[in-house]
Amino acid sequence: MRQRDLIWTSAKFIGTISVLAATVIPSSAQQRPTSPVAAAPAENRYPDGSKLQSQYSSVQRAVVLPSAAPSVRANSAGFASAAAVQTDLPEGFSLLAAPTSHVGGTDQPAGANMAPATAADRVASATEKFITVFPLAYRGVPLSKGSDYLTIVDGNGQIQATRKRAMPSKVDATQPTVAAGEAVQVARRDAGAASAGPDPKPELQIWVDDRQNGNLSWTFTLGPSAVGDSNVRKYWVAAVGEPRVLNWESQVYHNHNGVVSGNIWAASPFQAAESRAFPSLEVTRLLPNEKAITNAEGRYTYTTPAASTEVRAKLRGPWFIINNQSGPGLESAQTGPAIPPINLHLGASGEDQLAQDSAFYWANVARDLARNILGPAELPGLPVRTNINDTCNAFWDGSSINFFKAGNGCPNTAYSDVVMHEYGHGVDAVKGGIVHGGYSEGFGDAMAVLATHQPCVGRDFFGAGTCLRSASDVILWPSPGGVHTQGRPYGGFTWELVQQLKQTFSEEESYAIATRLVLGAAAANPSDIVDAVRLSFIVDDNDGNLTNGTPHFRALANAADSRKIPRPEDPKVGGPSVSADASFPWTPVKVVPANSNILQASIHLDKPGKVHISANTSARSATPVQFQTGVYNAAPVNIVWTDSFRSLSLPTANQWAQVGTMFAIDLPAGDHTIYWKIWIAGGSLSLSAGTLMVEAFEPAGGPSALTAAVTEAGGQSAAMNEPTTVGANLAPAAPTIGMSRDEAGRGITTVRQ
Amino acid sequence: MQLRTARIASWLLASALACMALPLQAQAAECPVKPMLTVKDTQDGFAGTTGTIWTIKPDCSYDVARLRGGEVSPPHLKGQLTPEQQSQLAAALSAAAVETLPARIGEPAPVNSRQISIEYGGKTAVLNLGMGDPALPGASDDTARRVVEIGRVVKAVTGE
Repeated sequence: MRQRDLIWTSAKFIGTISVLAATVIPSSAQQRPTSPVAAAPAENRYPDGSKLQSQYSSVQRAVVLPSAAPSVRANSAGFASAAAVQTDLPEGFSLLAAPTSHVGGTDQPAGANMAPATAADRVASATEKFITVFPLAYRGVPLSKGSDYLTIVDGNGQIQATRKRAMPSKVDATQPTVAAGEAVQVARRDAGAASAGPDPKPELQIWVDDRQNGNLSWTFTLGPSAVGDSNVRKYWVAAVGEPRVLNWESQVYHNHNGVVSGNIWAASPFQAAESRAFPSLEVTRLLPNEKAITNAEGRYTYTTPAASTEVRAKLRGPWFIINNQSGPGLESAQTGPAIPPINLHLGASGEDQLAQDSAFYWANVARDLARNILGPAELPGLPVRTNINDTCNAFWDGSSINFFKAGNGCPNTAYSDVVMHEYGHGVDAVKGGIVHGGYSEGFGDAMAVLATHQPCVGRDFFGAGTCLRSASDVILWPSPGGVHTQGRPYGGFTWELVQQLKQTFSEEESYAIATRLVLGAAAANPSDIVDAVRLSFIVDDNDGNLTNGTPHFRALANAADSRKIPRPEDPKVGGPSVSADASFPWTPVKVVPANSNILQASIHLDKPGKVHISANTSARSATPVQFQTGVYNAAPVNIVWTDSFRSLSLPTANQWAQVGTMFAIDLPAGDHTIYWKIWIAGGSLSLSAGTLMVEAFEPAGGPSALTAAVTEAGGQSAAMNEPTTVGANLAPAAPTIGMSRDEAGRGITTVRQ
Repeated sequence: MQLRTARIASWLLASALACMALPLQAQAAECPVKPMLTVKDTQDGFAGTTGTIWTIKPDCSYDVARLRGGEVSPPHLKGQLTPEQQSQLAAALSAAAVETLPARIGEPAPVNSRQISIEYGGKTAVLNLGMGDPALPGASDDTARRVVEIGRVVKAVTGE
């Protein structure tokens, strides 16, 4: 057989085998040849070096290192080790140039001072390492990444170890038979839409497959045409024989990201746990090692790409570190590629774990509440000690916040209200020190109120349904007793401030304003509760002059007055004021047998204004009777503003008593008619000489706000000598009273008619 | 007659000397806590003052109760000190010279103070340990160490 026939026959045989093989090898295997450096989903393929074959050796050869600076010694170690190991390479292979890394030792040039080497110097030299990863070439053609030769030289010049990796046992060619352009076309077809970018610059490389065969290949990068499209691939296409795709890898590494969440006690341990996203939590990625902090939505995102690796969340972050006292700290980890996102859930279940999650979550809520007054260097990395082996308490100790286990009728104390309160001490401490125990306790309670939007501080603390301290309780200043008792008027002031603000603003706005005013005062390290209230007015002030009021003066004043905390005087009226009044005389007596409007007065406000309303009369009844009174700016008799509501009684028959209400409110521009109402059932009242006064003024000086006023004296008696019966045609009211909000969001009290 | 009186006097003297020579352990059969001894270990915090109160009565019976929100709960532990425990307690009280302790050691913290107090023979000594601080206020403070030691022994002999 002639040689040409032999070749042809061989080719036909190989072709037949190939066809047969193609019929039994899955198409995916044909398209994606097994690669030691690629193992990932088709959408994103990243290298997996664990499949590379490596061979380590202990060479124990010495090289000469000069006495010089480490960088010079590193270069020398690289060259010297290359020279020393070159002979280990199979025929045709050579090392390519590579930088040498210097690890360990000291930064002093060895022998620079020419002092005799001490034992310590020798130890330092032994720990010093010069590490070089030499790329390889075969007959001048570079091998692809992963095929290389490692040398590790110590500071004494000993080559401690070498590693040959992904060395091909044979190489198919060093000269291509496939044109570079043809290889690119093959790759473009393989990449599909991802290949529409500019023409690449192919280079020859020897790509080593998992059978250690060296394949001469064209390698290049294909990108998309659209800027910002992240689908960029590097290809290796056979450069001899059939131009097939040997391998491709994603060049764009998507960054690991995801959301960290956990189960927490939303209100108290006696109530259902909820899953919440965890902000300000540190997430650690294993390779490459990097830390990311979750944002307000609990999302973490790394700034550098990575292949499949572990991502781990522990209950620690820039502001708080959970220090669990009953056992290991809670954590969650997952391993995976950057896509899809790795969401980590700190799935706490029992008390021990829920306490850790809850403490961390609520501590960060507290930090966020106080973010405007805390600098980055204030209270960073605060230890949060959970599950301390004690019961029924929690405390700030000057450098950490501490929470007890459940027991003796109390829940685990690492929950919302308690965490907020204890962190409040921390805020007080860092803002100049705790100088007044009563204020500090009150401020802690204020933090809880402002964060939880409800008045009970210590929900379920002594058992389900209990409330340790309610800020809605009216505890007047000064409140003698322990520091918690002393602080209660301040918690009450905070709660009442929110209620006052809600008469004008939405709930969300009201809490935001109250938070600014209360936390703003805290930033100034109040000397006591009175000082804290004064500071809230100063924080609210917008012109450096308290005597002309502040934007929220009336709400602050009413809140302070509700707990009888001394406060700045009412502002003098800056611009024109308006007033209206209405009255009925002492005789004839006005008889009120049912729910009624008894007087009304109207004003006009050009701009929003402060309106003070006072109503006063004398009343008596033929029998002991209970009744209610209040005012409102609408006619329905069953509605009054809650803060004007007064519950009264005449315990003795036929004795005159003073009856009335005083009230202040912010009202918008426009016409307002104020109605004075009496609610009574099961009796009747006789009223003598009553007056309703309405005064409105621009609250904080400045240009005239009020330009017109109309007064009206409705309800005045028509006949001077005859008793007047008001509302006699109304059905007796049932004594059911409820509280709600009117359309403007102001608190109203209603009675069922 | 004089001789008989002298014999009786000698016998009494001998008896007295014998009693003085008895080892401490034999004396411990009698309760060393003549007045009532009360130890309180308390922590101020979110819920006010909480803690534990140990009371050892002159007959060496004892009880342990919890303090919660300023209220003392019924004792959850009662018992009687054994002679060995009595000896241990007697030694601690003697070593600490309990009757010489000052009324106040250290300054109370503005909030969340931890205190250990010893009430004995009508006198009370209060050790202020700062905010939740289980450590001594100062290593050189001998009086503080004495209070802590009495507290430690009382907790040990009562089993809590």
